[in-house]
Amino acid sequence: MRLQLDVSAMKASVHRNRWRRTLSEAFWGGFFLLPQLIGLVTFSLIPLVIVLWLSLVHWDGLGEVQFVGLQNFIDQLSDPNLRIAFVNTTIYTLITVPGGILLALLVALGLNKVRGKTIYRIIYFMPVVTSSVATGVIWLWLLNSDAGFINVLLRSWFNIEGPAWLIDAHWVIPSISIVSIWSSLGSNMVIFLAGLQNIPSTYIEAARIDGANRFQLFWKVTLPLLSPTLFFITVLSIISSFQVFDQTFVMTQGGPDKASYTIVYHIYNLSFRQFTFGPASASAMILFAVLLVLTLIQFAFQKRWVNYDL
Amino acid sequence: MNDRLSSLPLVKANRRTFLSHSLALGASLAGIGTLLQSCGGGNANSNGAIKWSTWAGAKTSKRLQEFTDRYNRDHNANVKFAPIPSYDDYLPKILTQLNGGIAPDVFYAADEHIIKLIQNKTIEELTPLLAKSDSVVKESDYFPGMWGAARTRSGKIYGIPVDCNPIVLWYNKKVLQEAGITEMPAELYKQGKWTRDVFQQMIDKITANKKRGYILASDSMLYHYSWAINNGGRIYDKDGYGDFIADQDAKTVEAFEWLAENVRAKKFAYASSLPSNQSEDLMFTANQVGFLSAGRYYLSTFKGARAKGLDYDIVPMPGTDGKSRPTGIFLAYIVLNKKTKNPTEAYKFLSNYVSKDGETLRLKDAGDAVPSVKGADQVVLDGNDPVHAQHLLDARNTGFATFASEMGTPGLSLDIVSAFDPVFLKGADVKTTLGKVAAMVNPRIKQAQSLLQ
Repeated sequence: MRLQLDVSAMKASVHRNRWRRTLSEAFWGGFFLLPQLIGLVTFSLIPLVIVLWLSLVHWDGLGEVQFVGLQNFIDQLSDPNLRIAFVNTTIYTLITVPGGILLALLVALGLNKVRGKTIYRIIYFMPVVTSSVATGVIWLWLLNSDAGFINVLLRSWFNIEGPAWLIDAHWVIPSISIVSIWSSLGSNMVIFLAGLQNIPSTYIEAARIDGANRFQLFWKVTLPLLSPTLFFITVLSIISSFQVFDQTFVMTQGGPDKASYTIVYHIYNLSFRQFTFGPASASAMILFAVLLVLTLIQFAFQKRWVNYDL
Repeated sequence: MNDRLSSLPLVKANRRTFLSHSLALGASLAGIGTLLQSCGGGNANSNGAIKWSTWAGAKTSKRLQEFTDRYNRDHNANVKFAPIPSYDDYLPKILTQLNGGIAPDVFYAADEHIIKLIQNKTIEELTPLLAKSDSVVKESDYFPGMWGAARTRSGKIYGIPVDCNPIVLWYNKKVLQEAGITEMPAELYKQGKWTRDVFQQMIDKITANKKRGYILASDSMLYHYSWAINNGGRIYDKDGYGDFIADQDAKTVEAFEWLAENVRAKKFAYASSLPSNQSEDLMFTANQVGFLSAGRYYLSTFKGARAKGLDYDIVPMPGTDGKSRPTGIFLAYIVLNKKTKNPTEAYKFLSNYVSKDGETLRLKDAGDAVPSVKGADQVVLDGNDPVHAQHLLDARNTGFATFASEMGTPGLSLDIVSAFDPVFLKGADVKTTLGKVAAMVNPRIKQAQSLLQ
């Protein structure tokens, strides 16, 4: 009896100690996560809630707040400027995302087998860490239609009269796309490079033994195994393309004739030029909804082409 | 090894002690940091000290700091200057400071911003202060066309113009001479022969000589409005406090059509069609253009280019019938924070800033504007550069600020400029575009109209 009691007491004690240890570890785990959580709540979640609230009111930054319900959304959805902004941003995304991903993949494939990868990684990554305002100013000079380096090169080497890159409504979006592709090449390339280096060499060797040529190797082995990385970059690239602002603000101010007027520039115009924070927040929420839907669609379709099996 | 370590009492208590001490230290540092920040920022309201602010680049900041230091010495005052480098960031920062109760006691308000501050009752009405017998400045010290959106239709004043830049035509003598023009515009103006037709003839000659005749700026509608008014047209009714009526005014339509025709014929360059870094002043100093409309703000640039052979002068805009009419004036205002804790000291600084002595001090030597106050004209005439500098003063005396209805609607002016891009870039019809502009403008200015009564 006494032995049975001792065993029960021991079991209870072990259980209590385990529970205390779990609580203690949970506490310290939460404690170490706290700085990041505070940052996330303060700089992401709270602003999101505030923007949602602002989208339902009229407020000019100083005066009284007037609740207007969904009126800002109705006004923005019928605003021709928002329509122009969406069209321009979509065209920009259709050029920048495939162009940027393809170029980054080609560079990563080229660098994968090269010696001195680190130096190349640094060189390609430099635009990523350079201020977007500085790169915008530099590209303003490069794309100058009269004396810019690109048109001078086209004229002197190929006898081609280059377009008025930033002042021709047909060329302004491709011009900004070029700048964006150049800026983001390094970061996408580095991610692709990491993905390529994670592909087990046994698959490549097995495919070679089976007689696969280089194209077949790439198409049937490398690309499917790289698909998770490709999916990741695609999702992030689409989100960041829809949020383009720095290049349009520094280089074109939305012109000429609103040809480079993008969604975030529209939000900036409403907020900081017209001081109508309600409609600006409504536009921001519309952008959020569009990006959410696009991302969900991509996640829904990933099963068809993304291969997570190794 | 583990036994040895665990026998040390320090090791057993280490993790908990370290974490709790770190937490205490972190909280203390955060508290000290917050305290230091609150001491460093905010308005300098203690002991009669005041703070004032404006947008200012490095060169302007230096000049204004010197002005502030001199004011402090002369008046035994404690005024701090807090410049904000970027114009684009200026109003958002001021609005944030006003919301947080730490805005400067005295600050600049651009003509397109002042309505917001009037609407939200964050700035003091200056009319009674100007009327006091001990005020250094009076309302009558400023020219009537300068008030714009800073004065309501009923006469309440909320801001005083700090200085101004009236639009005149700058011309490059070398470009004109190379085009075979022998009599300069300023001479023709003296003889009463300076008309739009004569201007057009000069443009034709300059263009035939493979240079640009004139650059039509695209960062403000004031340039277009100035041409329209010099053609005898009207833009807004009720002295600028009413509706946009340009589309219904035949002379305004004709003026815009004349501008569009010259742009289409490539005799005028539209600034938006120029590469962003090929600005009008660069083209002028490079002897690539004959005329441009501007205020006094390019003077230091052009002076600096004299050594490289640039020769220039100014003339009023030509009227169609030979009579020069008012042209636009670029303005900014200085305002008084309603919540200042030192209103007497703040108004004293404000009024001195825009007094005859204050503007003379600020604008002499390297000044790039024209005084807004009467009696300080010598700063423009000193040095005889440009030769006919008097035209800047004449333009100021008769000119007009951007119309109150338009300035009272933030962002509207730039939207109107964008609305005209199809006319000057793609050859769209002028009358149709003016109609579209009227349809866009008139509903948007309703709020400004009611606020500015």
